[in-house]
Amino acid sequence: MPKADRWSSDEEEIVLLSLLPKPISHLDEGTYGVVWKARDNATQEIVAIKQIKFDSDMTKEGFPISALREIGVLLSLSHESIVSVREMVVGSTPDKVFMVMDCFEMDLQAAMKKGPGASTPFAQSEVKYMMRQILSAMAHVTSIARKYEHPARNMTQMVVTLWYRAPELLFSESCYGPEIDTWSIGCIFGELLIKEAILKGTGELDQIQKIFKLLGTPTDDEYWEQLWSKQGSTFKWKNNDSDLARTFAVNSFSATGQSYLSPDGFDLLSRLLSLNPKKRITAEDALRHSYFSCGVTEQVPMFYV
Amino acid sequence: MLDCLLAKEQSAQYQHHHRDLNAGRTPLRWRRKICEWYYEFVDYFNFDREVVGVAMNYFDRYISSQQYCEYEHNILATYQTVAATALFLAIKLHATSCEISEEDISALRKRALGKILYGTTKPQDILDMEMNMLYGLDWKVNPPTLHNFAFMFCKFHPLSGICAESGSY
Repeated sequence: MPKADRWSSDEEEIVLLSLLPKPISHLDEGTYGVVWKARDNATQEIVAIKQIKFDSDMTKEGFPISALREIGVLLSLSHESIVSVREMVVGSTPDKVFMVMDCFEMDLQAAMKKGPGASTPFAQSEVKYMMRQILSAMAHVTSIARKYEHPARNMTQMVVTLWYRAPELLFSESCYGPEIDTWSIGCIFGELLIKEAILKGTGELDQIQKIFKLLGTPTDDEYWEQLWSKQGSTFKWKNNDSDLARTFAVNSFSATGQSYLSPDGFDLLSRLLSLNPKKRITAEDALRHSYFSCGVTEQVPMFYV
Repeated sequence: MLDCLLAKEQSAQYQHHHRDLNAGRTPLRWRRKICEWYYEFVDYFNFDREVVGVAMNYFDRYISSQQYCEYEHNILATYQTVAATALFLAIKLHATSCEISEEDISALRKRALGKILYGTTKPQDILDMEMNMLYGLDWKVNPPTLHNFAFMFCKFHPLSGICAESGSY
Protein backbone atom coordinates (compact mmCIF):
# COMPACT_ATOMS: atom_id res chain seq x y z
CA MET A 1 0.00 0.00 0.00
CA PRO A 2 1.60 3.34 -1.00
CA LYS A 3 2.33 5.38 2.13
CA ALA A 4 2.59 9.11 2.58
CA ASP A 5 5.24 10.82 4.67
CA ARG A 6 4.48 13.32 7.36
CA TRP A 7 5.37 16.90 6.57
CA SER A 8 4.66 20.25 8.20
CA SER A 9 4.06 23.62 6.66
CA ASP A 10 4.02 26.96 8.45
CA GLU A 11 0.29 27.28 8.18
CA GLU A 12 -1.04 23.87 9.00
CA GLU A 13 0.19 20.36 9.50
CA ILE A 14 -0.73 18.17 6.58
CA VAL A 15 0.24 14.80 5.24
CA LEU A 16 1.84 14.62 1.84
CA LEU A 17 3.09 11.93 -0.42
CA SER A 18 6.69 10.91 -0.08
CA LEU A 19 7.16 11.82 -3.71
CA LEU A 20 5.73 15.26 -3.17
CA PRO A 21 8.23 17.45 -1.27
CA LYS A 22 5.99 20.39 -0.59
CA PRO A 23 2.57 21.75 -1.23
CA ILE A 24 2.46 24.70 -3.57
CA SER A 25 -0.89 26.05 -2.61
CA HIS A 26 -4.28 25.24 -1.22
CA LEU A 27 -6.66 25.07 -4.18
CA ASP A 28 -10.14 24.45 -2.94
CA GLU A 29 -12.29 22.69 -0.42
CA GLY A 30 -15.18 20.68 -1.77
CA THR A 31 -17.90 18.60 -0.17
CA TYR A 32 -15.73 15.52 -0.05
CA GLY A 33 -12.29 16.91 0.75
CA VAL A 34 -9.55 19.52 0.65
CA VAL A 35 -7.55 19.89 -2.57
CA TRP A 36 -3.88 20.82 -2.63
CA LYS A 37 -1.61 21.66 -5.51
CA ALA A 38 1.79 19.95 -5.37
CA ARG A 39 4.77 18.95 -7.46
CA ASP A 40 5.59 15.33 -8.29
CA ASN A 41 9.24 14.89 -7.34
CA ALA A 42 9.84 12.13 -9.84
CA THR A 43 8.39 13.79 -12.93
CA GLN A 44 8.32 17.46 -11.85
CA GLU A 45 4.69 17.52 -12.93
CA ILE A 46 2.18 19.60 -11.04
CA VAL A 47 -0.58 17.47 -9.57
CA ALA A 48 -3.62 18.04 -7.40
CA ILE A 49 -3.96 15.98 -4.24
CA LYS A 50 -7.30 15.66 -2.62
CA GLN A 51 -7.59 14.58 0.98
CA ILE A 52 -10.72 12.54 1.50
CA LYS A 53 -12.86 13.88 4.31
CA PHE A 54 -13.78 11.36 6.98
CA ASP A 55 -16.64 12.18 9.27
CA SER A 56 -17.36 10.82 12.71
CA ASP A 57 -19.36 7.96 11.17
CA MET A 58 -16.08 6.34 10.10
CA THR A 59 -16.46 3.86 12.98
CA LYS A 60 -19.94 2.88 11.79
CA GLU A 61 -19.50 2.66 8.05
CA GLY A 62 -15.76 2.63 7.39
CA PHE A 63 -14.48 4.31 4.25
CA PRO A 64 -17.05 6.96 3.15
CA ILE A 65 -19.44 5.64 0.50
CA SER A 66 -19.52 8.97 -1.36
CA ALA A 67 -15.72 9.00 -1.69
CA LEU A 68 -15.63 5.34 -2.71
CA ARG A 69 -18.15 6.01 -5.47
CA GLU A 70 -16.26 9.05 -6.68
CA ILE A 71 -12.97 7.13 -6.81
CA GLY A 72 -14.64 4.16 -8.52
CA VAL A 73 -16.18 6.35 -11.20
CA LEU A 74 -13.08 8.49 -11.79
CA LEU A 75 -10.93 5.37 -12.09
CA SER A 76 -13.22 3.90 -14.75
CA LEU A 77 -13.21 7.08 -16.82
CA SER A 78 -10.51 7.86 -19.29
CA HIS A 79 -11.11 11.00 -21.32
CA GLU A 80 -9.03 14.03 -22.19
CA SER A 81 -11.63 16.39 -20.79
CA ILE A 82 -12.12 14.55 -17.51
CA VAL A 83 -9.75 14.83 -14.59
CA SER A 84 -8.06 11.47 -14.01
CA VAL A 85 -7.02 9.85 -10.74
CA ARG A 86 -3.37 8.80 -11.00
CA GLU A 87 -3.17 6.84 -7.77
CA MET A 88 -4.46 6.53 -4.25
CA VAL A 89 -2.16 6.87 -1.23
CA VAL A 90 -2.58 6.73 2.53
CA GLY A 91 -1.08 8.77 5.36
CA SER A 92 0.09 7.78 8.80
CA THR A 93 -3.41 6.85 9.95
CA PRO A 94 -6.18 5.07 8.04
CA ASP A 95 -8.31 8.20 7.97
CA LYS A 96 -5.70 10.04 5.89
CA VAL A 97 -6.34 9.01 2.31
CA PHE A 98 -5.40 11.02 -0.75
CA MET A 99 -6.33 10.97 -4.40
CA VAL A 100 -3.51 12.10 -6.68
CA MET A 101 -5.11 13.74 -9.69
CA ASP A 102 -4.22 15.77 -12.75
CA CYS A 103 -4.06 19.43 -11.87
CA PHE A 104 -5.83 22.13 -13.84
CA GLU A 105 -5.09 25.80 -13.38
CA MET A 106 -8.70 26.76 -12.87
CA ASP A 107 -12.22 25.50 -13.18
CA LEU A 108 -14.70 26.94 -15.66
CA GLN A 109 -16.23 29.31 -13.13
CA ALA A 110 -12.81 30.76 -12.24
CA ALA A 111 -11.92 30.96 -15.95
CA MET A 112 -14.99 33.08 -16.61
CA LYS A 113 -14.13 35.46 -13.78
CA LYS A 114 -10.35 35.57 -13.74
CA GLY A 115 -9.23 34.86 -17.26
CA PRO A 116 -7.87 37.60 -19.52
CA GLY A 117 -10.71 39.63 -20.90
CA ALA A 118 -12.98 38.60 -18.05
CA SER A 119 -15.25 41.57 -18.67
CA THR A 120 -15.79 40.78 -22.37
CA PRO A 121 -17.90 37.90 -23.66
CA PHE A 122 -16.31 34.75 -25.04
CA ALA A 123 -15.97 34.55 -28.82
CA GLN A 124 -18.42 32.17 -30.47
CA SER A 125 -15.49 29.96 -31.50
CA GLU A 126 -14.38 29.72 -27.85
CA VAL A 127 -17.85 28.84 -26.60
CA LYS A 128 -18.04 26.16 -29.27
CA TYR A 129 -14.69 24.71 -28.18
CA MET A 130 -15.76 24.53 -24.52
CA MET A 131 -19.17 23.10 -25.35
CA ARG A 132 -17.59 20.33 -27.43
CA GLN A 133 -15.27 19.45 -24.52
CA ILE A 134 -18.14 19.34 -22.03
CA LEU A 135 -20.43 17.34 -24.31
CA SER A 136 -17.80 14.81 -25.34
CA ALA A 137 -16.87 14.29 -21.67
CA MET A 138 -20.57 13.83 -20.87
CA ALA A 139 -21.01 11.37 -23.74
CA HIS A 140 -18.09 9.34 -22.35
CA VAL A 141 -19.53 9.38 -18.81
CA THR A 142 -22.91 8.27 -20.17
CA SER A 143 -21.38 5.35 -22.05
CA ILE A 144 -19.57 4.20 -18.89
CA ALA A 145 -22.59 4.78 -16.65
CA ARG A 146 -24.79 2.64 -18.91
CA LYS A 147 -22.89 -0.36 -17.65
CA TYR A 148 -24.29 0.19 -14.16
CA GLU A 149 -27.79 0.95 -15.33
CA HIS A 150 -30.45 -0.94 -13.54
CA PRO A 151 -34.08 -1.31 -14.60
CA ALA A 152 -36.76 0.62 -12.72
CA ARG A 153 -34.53 1.89 -9.93
CA ASN A 154 -35.91 4.69 -7.78
CA MET A 155 -33.33 7.31 -6.91
CA THR A 156 -33.05 10.38 -4.72
CA GLN A 157 -33.96 13.79 -6.17
CA MET A 158 -31.41 15.59 -4.02
CA VAL A 159 -28.76 15.65 -6.70
CA VAL A 160 -27.10 18.42 -8.70
CA THR A 161 -26.50 21.99 -7.50
CA LEU A 162 -29.86 23.83 -7.41
CA TRP A 163 -29.12 26.29 -10.25
CA TYR A 164 -28.29 23.42 -12.60
CA ARG A 165 -30.98 21.00 -11.41
CA ALA A 166 -33.40 19.73 -14.07
CA PRO A 167 -37.07 20.71 -13.59
CA GLU A 168 -38.28 17.10 -13.31
CA LEU A 169 -36.00 16.61 -10.28
CA LEU A 170 -37.56 19.65 -8.65
CA PHE A 171 -40.90 17.86 -9.07
CA SER A 172 -39.56 14.75 -7.34
CA GLU A 173 -39.06 12.57 -10.41
CA SER A 174 -37.25 9.53 -9.04
CA CYS A 175 -36.61 7.59 -12.27
CA TYR A 176 -34.12 9.59 -14.28
CA GLY A 177 -31.07 9.18 -16.47
CA PRO A 178 -28.42 11.17 -18.33
CA GLU A 179 -31.00 13.76 -19.43
CA ILE A 180 -30.61 15.50 -16.05
CA ASP A 181 -26.97 16.11 -16.98
CA THR A 182 -27.76 17.47 -20.43
CA TRP A 183 -30.08 19.98 -18.75
CA SER A 184 -27.13 21.11 -16.59
CA ILE A 185 -25.02 21.40 -19.75
CA GLY A 186 -27.73 23.62 -21.24
CA CYS A 187 -27.49 25.85 -18.16
CA ILE A 188 -23.71 25.99 -18.60
CA PHE A 189 -24.11 26.81 -22.30
CA GLY A 190 -26.28 29.79 -21.36
CA GLU A 191 -23.80 30.77 -18.67
CA LEU A 192 -20.92 30.71 -21.16
CA LEU A 193 -22.89 33.04 -23.42
CA ILE A 194 -23.63 35.68 -20.79
CA LYS A 195 -20.89 34.84 -18.25
CA GLU A 196 -23.45 34.54 -15.52
CA ALA A 197 -25.61 31.70 -14.21
CA ILE A 198 -28.93 31.81 -16.06
CA LEU A 199 -31.22 30.32 -13.40
CA LYS A 200 -30.22 31.59 -9.99
CA GLY A 201 -33.05 30.35 -7.79
CA THR A 202 -32.97 31.04 -4.07
CA GLY A 203 -34.85 27.87 -3.23
CA GLU A 204 -36.57 24.98 -4.99
CA LEU A 205 -39.84 26.84 -5.55
CA ASP A 206 -38.05 29.94 -6.79
CA GLN A 207 -35.93 27.74 -9.06
CA ILE A 208 -39.07 26.26 -10.64
CA GLN A 209 -40.52 29.74 -11.16
CA LYS A 210 -37.31 30.95 -12.79
CA ILE A 211 -37.24 27.92 -15.10
CA PHE A 212 -40.87 28.40 -16.17
CA LYS A 213 -40.30 32.13 -16.61
CA LEU A 214 -37.37 31.50 -18.96
CA LEU A 215 -38.73 28.51 -20.85
CA GLY A 216 -42.47 28.87 -20.45
CA THR A 217 -44.82 26.71 -18.41
CA PRO A 218 -45.22 23.23 -19.90
CA THR A 219 -48.79 23.13 -21.15
CA ASP A 220 -50.26 20.32 -23.25
CA ASP A 221 -47.15 18.29 -22.54
CA GLU A 222 -47.83 14.61 -22.01
CA TYR A 223 -44.77 14.06 -19.81
CA TRP A 224 -45.65 16.87 -17.39
CA GLU A 225 -49.32 15.99 -17.28
CA GLN A 226 -48.39 12.42 -16.34
CA LEU A 227 -45.85 13.51 -13.72
CA TRP A 228 -48.23 15.96 -12.10
CA SER A 229 -51.17 13.56 -12.13
CA LYS A 230 -48.95 10.78 -10.69
CA GLN A 231 -48.15 13.11 -7.80
CA GLY A 232 -51.80 14.11 -7.41
CA SER A 233 -50.68 17.71 -7.71
CA THR A 234 -53.44 20.30 -7.62
CA PHE A 235 -51.03 23.23 -7.72
CA LYS A 236 -51.56 25.49 -10.73
CA TRP A 237 -48.60 27.23 -12.30
CA LYS A 238 -48.98 30.63 -13.87
CA ASN A 239 -48.85 30.26 -17.64
CA ASN A 240 -45.73 31.85 -19.06
CA ASP A 241 -44.51 31.97 -22.64
CA SER A 242 -40.90 31.12 -23.31
CA ASP A 243 -38.52 34.01 -22.78
CA LEU A 244 -35.53 32.16 -24.17
CA ALA A 245 -35.42 33.96 -27.53
CA ARG A 246 -35.52 37.35 -25.82
CA THR A 247 -32.86 36.36 -23.27
CA PHE A 248 -30.47 34.95 -25.86
CA ALA A 249 -30.40 37.14 -28.95
CA VAL A 250 -29.57 35.37 -32.21
CA ASN A 251 -27.25 36.90 -34.81
CA SER A 252 -26.76 39.94 -32.62
CA PHE A 253 -23.62 41.98 -32.07
CA SER A 254 -25.33 44.25 -29.57
CA ALA A 255 -23.48 45.56 -26.56
CA THR A 256 -25.49 43.40 -24.17
CA GLY A 257 -22.42 41.51 -23.10
CA GLN A 258 -23.60 38.29 -24.71
CA SER A 259 -21.41 36.10 -26.94
CA TYR A 260 -22.49 35.90 -30.56
CA LEU A 261 -25.07 33.14 -30.99
CA SER A 262 -25.89 31.61 -34.34
CA PRO A 263 -29.39 30.18 -35.10
CA ASP A 264 -27.80 26.71 -34.84
CA GLY A 265 -26.42 27.62 -31.42
CA PHE A 266 -29.85 28.80 -30.27
CA ASP A 267 -31.43 25.60 -31.54
CA LEU A 268 -28.93 23.50 -29.58
CA LEU A 269 -29.48 25.60 -26.46
CA SER A 270 -33.25 25.14 -26.64
CA ARG A 271 -32.88 21.39 -27.21
CA LEU A 272 -30.58 21.05 -24.20
CA LEU A 273 -33.04 23.06 -22.13
CA SER A 274 -36.08 21.09 -23.24
CA LEU A 275 -38.56 20.93 -20.36
CA ASN A 276 -39.59 17.46 -21.45
CA PRO A 277 -36.66 15.16 -20.52
CA LYS A 278 -37.76 12.60 -23.08
CA LYS A 279 -37.33 15.19 -25.84
CA ARG A 280 -34.09 16.63 -24.44
CA ILE A 281 -31.14 16.10 -26.77
CA THR A 282 -28.51 13.55 -25.66
CA ALA A 283 -24.83 14.45 -25.40
CA GLU A 284 -24.05 12.13 -28.34
CA ASP A 285 -26.68 13.77 -30.56
CA ALA A 286 -25.64 17.24 -29.44
CA LEU A 287 -22.11 16.53 -30.70
CA ARG A 288 -23.61 15.75 -34.11
CA HIS A 289 -25.65 18.99 -34.10
CA SER A 290 -25.05 21.44 -36.96
CA TYR A 291 -23.84 24.00 -34.39
CA PHE A 292 -20.53 22.12 -34.39
CA SER A 293 -20.33 21.29 -38.10
CA CYS A 294 -21.39 24.68 -39.53
CA GLY A 295 -20.24 28.24 -38.98
CA VAL A 296 -17.02 29.41 -37.36
CA THR A 297 -14.28 26.97 -36.46
CA GLU A 298 -13.68 26.17 -32.81
CA GLN A 299 -10.85 27.96 -31.07
CA VAL A 300 -9.02 27.36 -27.80
CA PRO A 301 -10.21 30.00 -25.30
CA MET A 302 -7.80 32.81 -24.47
CA PHE A 303 -7.57 31.92 -20.79
CA TYR A 304 -6.33 28.50 -21.78
CA VAL A 305 -3.50 29.64 -24.07
CA MET B 1 -21.72 -2.10 -24.10
CA LEU B 2 -21.19 -5.83 -24.11
CA ASP B 3 -17.77 -5.23 -25.63
CA CYS B 4 -17.05 -2.90 -22.74
CA LEU B 5 -17.95 -5.60 -20.22
CA LEU B 6 -15.82 -8.13 -22.07
CA ALA B 7 -12.85 -5.76 -22.25
CA LYS B 8 -13.19 -5.09 -18.54
CA GLU B 9 -13.38 -8.79 -17.72
CA GLN B 10 -10.24 -9.41 -19.73
CA SER B 11 -8.32 -6.52 -18.15
CA ALA B 12 -5.47 -7.46 -15.81
CA GLN B 13 -7.10 -6.22 -12.60
CA TYR B 14 -10.27 -8.21 -13.08
CA GLN B 15 -8.84 -11.37 -14.59
CA HIS B 16 -5.85 -12.55 -12.63
CA HIS B 17 -7.87 -14.18 -9.85
CA HIS B 18 -9.27 -16.78 -12.27
CA ARG B 19 -5.86 -18.44 -12.45
CA ASP B 20 -5.65 -18.60 -8.67
CA LEU B 21 -9.14 -20.02 -8.40
CA ASN B 22 -8.18 -22.75 -10.82
CA ALA B 23 -5.00 -23.37 -8.90
CA GLY B 24 -7.11 -23.96 -5.77
CA ARG B 25 -5.92 -20.99 -3.72
CA THR B 26 -9.16 -21.04 -1.70
CA PRO B 27 -10.38 -24.45 -0.60
CA LEU B 28 -13.64 -25.01 -2.45
CA ARG B 29 -15.58 -26.01 0.65
CA TRP B 30 -14.71 -22.65 2.27
CA ARG B 31 -15.66 -20.76 -0.83
CA ARG B 32 -19.00 -22.55 -1.03
CA LYS B 33 -19.76 -21.77 2.63
CA ILE B 34 -18.90 -18.12 2.13
CA CYS B 35 -21.09 -17.91 -0.95
CA GLU B 36 -24.04 -19.52 0.85
CA TRP B 37 -23.63 -17.13 3.77
CA TYR B 38 -23.61 -14.20 1.32
CA TYR B 39 -26.88 -15.33 -0.27
CA GLU B 40 -28.51 -15.84 3.11
CA PHE B 41 -27.44 -12.37 4.27
CA VAL B 42 -28.40 -10.56 1.06
CA ASP B 43 -31.81 -12.29 0.88
CA TYR B 44 -32.52 -11.43 4.50
CA PHE B 45 -32.12 -7.72 3.69
CA ASN B 46 -33.93 -8.11 0.37
CA PHE B 47 -31.04 -6.66 -1.63
CA ASP B 48 -30.62 -7.64 -5.27
CA ARG B 49 -28.52 -10.80 -5.51
CA GLU B 50 -26.01 -9.07 -7.78
CA VAL B 51 -24.25 -7.96 -4.62
CA VAL B 52 -23.20 -11.59 -4.00
CA GLY B 53 -21.43 -11.74 -7.37
CA VAL B 54 -19.61 -8.52 -6.57
CA ALA B 55 -18.62 -9.65 -3.07
CA MET B 56 -17.30 -12.99 -4.40
CA ASN B 57 -15.33 -11.07 -7.01
CA TYR B 58 -13.74 -8.88 -4.31
CA PHE B 59 -13.05 -11.94 -2.16
CA ASP B 60 -11.39 -13.96 -4.94
CA ARG B 61 -9.35 -11.05 -6.24
CA TYR B 62 -8.16 -10.04 -2.78
CA ILE B 63 -7.22 -13.60 -1.75
CA SER B 64 -5.33 -14.04 -5.00
CA SER B 65 -3.29 -10.91 -4.23
CA GLN B 66 -2.22 -12.30 -0.82
CA GLN B 67 0.17 -15.05 0.20
CA TYR B 68 -2.22 -17.02 2.39
CA CYS B 69 -1.75 -20.73 2.99
CA GLU B 70 -4.46 -23.20 4.04
CA TYR B 71 -2.37 -24.51 6.96
CA GLU B 72 -1.41 -21.10 8.33
CA HIS B 73 -2.17 -20.31 11.97
CA ASN B 74 -5.49 -18.46 12.30
CA ILE B 75 -6.17 -18.76 8.58
CA LEU B 76 -9.87 -19.48 9.17
CA ALA B 77 -10.27 -16.23 11.12
CA THR B 78 -8.43 -14.36 8.36
CA TYR B 79 -10.70 -15.81 5.67
CA GLN B 80 -13.71 -14.93 7.79
CA THR B 81 -12.55 -11.31 8.06
CA VAL B 82 -11.80 -11.13 4.33
CA ALA B 83 -15.21 -12.62 3.48
CA ALA B 84 -17.08 -10.27 5.82
CA THR B 85 -15.15 -7.26 4.52
CA ALA B 86 -15.81 -8.18 0.88
CA LEU B 87 -19.54 -8.29 1.62
CA PHE B 88 -19.29 -5.06 3.66
CA LEU B 89 -17.72 -3.27 0.70
CA ALA B 90 -20.04 -4.80 -1.89
CA ILE B 91 -23.13 -3.76 0.08
CA LYS B 92 -21.78 -0.22 0.40
CA LEU B 93 -21.35 0.16 -3.33
CA HIS B 94 -23.77 -2.21 -5.00
CA ALA B 95 -26.63 -2.98 -2.63
CA THR B 96 -29.79 -1.98 -4.44
CA SER B 97 -33.24 -3.36 -4.84
CA CYS B 98 -35.74 -3.10 -7.67
CA GLU B 99 -38.57 -2.89 -5.15
CA ILE B 100 -37.17 -0.40 -2.63
CA SER B 101 -36.58 3.35 -3.03
CA GLU B 102 -33.07 4.79 -2.69
CA GLU B 103 -33.97 6.45 0.64
CA ASP B 104 -35.16 3.17 2.12
CA ILE B 105 -32.18 1.34 0.68
CA SER B 106 -29.90 3.80 2.43
CA ALA B 107 -31.42 2.98 5.84
CA LEU B 108 -31.37 -0.75 5.07
CA ARG B 109 -27.76 -0.52 3.95
CA LYS B 110 -26.79 1.11 7.25
CA ARG B 111 -28.44 -1.72 9.16
CA ALA B 112 -26.72 -4.35 7.05
CA LEU B 113 -23.31 -2.71 7.44
CA GLY B 114 -23.81 -2.48 11.20
CA LYS B 115 -24.78 -6.14 11.31
CA ILE B 116 -21.56 -7.16 9.56
CA LEU B 117 -19.41 -4.78 11.57
CA TYR B 118 -20.71 -5.85 14.96
CA GLY B 119 -21.82 -9.36 14.18
CA THR B 120 -19.05 -11.54 12.88
CA THR B 121 -15.65 -10.38 14.00
CA LYS B 122 -14.05 -7.33 15.68
CA PRO B 123 -15.29 -4.09 14.02
CA GLN B 124 -11.76 -2.67 13.83
CA ASP B 125 -10.55 -5.80 12.01
CA ILE B 126 -13.13 -5.17 9.27
CA LEU B 127 -12.27 -1.47 9.02
CA ASP B 128 -8.54 -2.26 8.78
CA MET B 129 -9.20 -5.01 6.25
CA GLU B 130 -11.37 -2.64 4.20
CA MET B 131 -8.42 -0.33 3.53
CA ASN B 132 -6.13 -3.30 2.76
CA MET B 133 -8.74 -4.72 0.43
CA LEU B 134 -9.25 -1.44 -1.43
CA TYR B 135 -5.52 -1.31 -2.12
CA GLY B 136 -5.40 -5.04 -2.88
CA LEU B 137 -8.14 -4.51 -5.47
CA ASP B 138 -6.33 -1.45 -6.80
CA TRP B 139 -9.54 0.48 -6.05
CA LYS B 140 -11.25 -1.30 -8.95
CA VAL B 141 -14.59 -1.90 -7.29
CA ASN B 142 -17.00 -2.14 -10.22
CA PRO B 143 -16.39 -5.60 -11.63
CA PRO B 144 -18.40 -6.99 -14.54
CA THR B 145 -20.86 -9.57 -13.24
CA LEU B 146 -23.22 -12.14 -14.69
CA HIS B 147 -26.12 -9.95 -13.59
CA ASN B 148 -24.62 -6.99 -15.46
CA PHE B 149 -24.51 -9.15 -18.55
CA ALA B 150 -28.04 -10.47 -18.05
CA PHE B 151 -29.54 -7.00 -17.55
CA MET B 152 -27.85 -5.70 -20.68
CA PHE B 153 -28.81 -8.72 -22.71
CA CYS B 154 -32.45 -8.23 -21.65
CA LYS B 155 -32.24 -4.59 -22.62
CA PHE B 156 -31.21 -5.43 -26.16
CA HIS B 157 -33.67 -8.29 -26.51
CA PRO B 158 -36.69 -7.49 -28.71
CA LEU B 159 -39.02 -8.49 -25.87
CA SER B 160 -37.26 -6.36 -23.26
CA GLY B 161 -40.17 -3.88 -23.04
CA ILE B 162 -42.66 -6.63 -22.21
CA CYS B 163 -40.26 -8.16 -19.66
CA ALA B 164 -39.74 -4.80 -17.95
CA GLU B 165 -43.49 -4.21 -17.70
CA SER B 166 -44.23 -7.64 -16.31
CA GLY B 167 -41.20 -7.54 -14.02
CA SER B 168 -39.97 -10.90 -15.30
CA TYR B 169 -36.57 -11.40 -16.80
